[in-house]
Amino acid sequence: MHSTYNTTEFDKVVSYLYFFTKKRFKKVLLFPIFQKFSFNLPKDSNVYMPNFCMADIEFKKIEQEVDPRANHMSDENNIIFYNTINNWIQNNILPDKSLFSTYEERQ
Amino acid sequence: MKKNLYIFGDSYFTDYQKEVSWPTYTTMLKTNYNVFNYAESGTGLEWSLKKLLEILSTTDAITLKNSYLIFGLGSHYRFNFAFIDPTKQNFFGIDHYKLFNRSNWQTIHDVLPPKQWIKKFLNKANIEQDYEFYKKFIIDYIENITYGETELDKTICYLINLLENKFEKIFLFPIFYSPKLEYKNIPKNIYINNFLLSNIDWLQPKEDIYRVNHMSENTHKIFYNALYNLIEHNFVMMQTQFPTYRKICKN
Repeated sequence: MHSTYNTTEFDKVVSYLYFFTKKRFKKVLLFPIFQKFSFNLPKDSNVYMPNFCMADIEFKKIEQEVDPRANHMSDENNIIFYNTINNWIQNNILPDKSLFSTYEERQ
Repeated sequence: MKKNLYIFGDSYFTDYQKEVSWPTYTTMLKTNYNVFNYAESGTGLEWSLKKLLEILSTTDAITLKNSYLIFGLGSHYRFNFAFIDPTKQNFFGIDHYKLFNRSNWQTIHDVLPPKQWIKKFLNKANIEQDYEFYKKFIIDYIENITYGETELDKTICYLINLLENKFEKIFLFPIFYSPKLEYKNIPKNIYINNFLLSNIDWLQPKEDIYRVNHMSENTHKIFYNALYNLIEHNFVMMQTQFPTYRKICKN
């Protein structure tokens, strides 16, 4: 491979977002979707990134015709996700993957 | 015992062995450090990052931890076309100095390489490609994508996260473009130079002497002393320490 694009681009963007947003917003929650960040963001910052991916909690096992799977989540996880974001904004409670149903593991 | 000093970057950091007109700062540094210089003229930011990642993956971590790093933040407009010639990334014929000074060009077409130049380049590599493809690629990256606006800062932010615990001291030198973000409260062992190296280069004379690293003889001496004081004593480097040949050229 001649370019570092595939190996560095995601980490570059997250690193950039951290510096770019931390002084512009009161609180910033960065959610990785398909891949994890290679580094750790400073813990005393107003910018936080959970250590799990959104794709880990998606709902894959129901036919789309039966359930439109809004945001790729079950009804249950949609509510949990809302509470997770709300708890972080209001009470600084960090998002935790164990709160979610992981449908991949249930099959 | 000398410490290791790793250097990455473009022609401003290349260790030229031949055709020098005067003693170079890269040679002077060897009196104080074991220098491992991976800089190569004509290369861009992506090339240096790739080299750095190669060294990080093949060098003992304890060795690096006790070493210094100088990383020249070259032009991100020197795209990585190494798939054409893997041995050299060399920039792709874009009129880099014109691009660097926005007042020198009206539309993006003014800085694009001439069609004949690209054809010659591609033929040299024995690869037939469509000129329009490369033209569109370059235009997209300069004008239509956030690349030009964010790539330098993205790379600096990435390097801060990547390198903090890997070297004893890290020195980042912007060359052609200034970072847009403010870098306050970054790790204490990371230094970002506060002026562009291209501001202290020597554009003239062009014909009679080889302006190695684009610097005059005097600038080489000053730069060596400034680098040494920065590395050893954390003295911040100031542009006012250097002759400003660009102003002389304009007058």
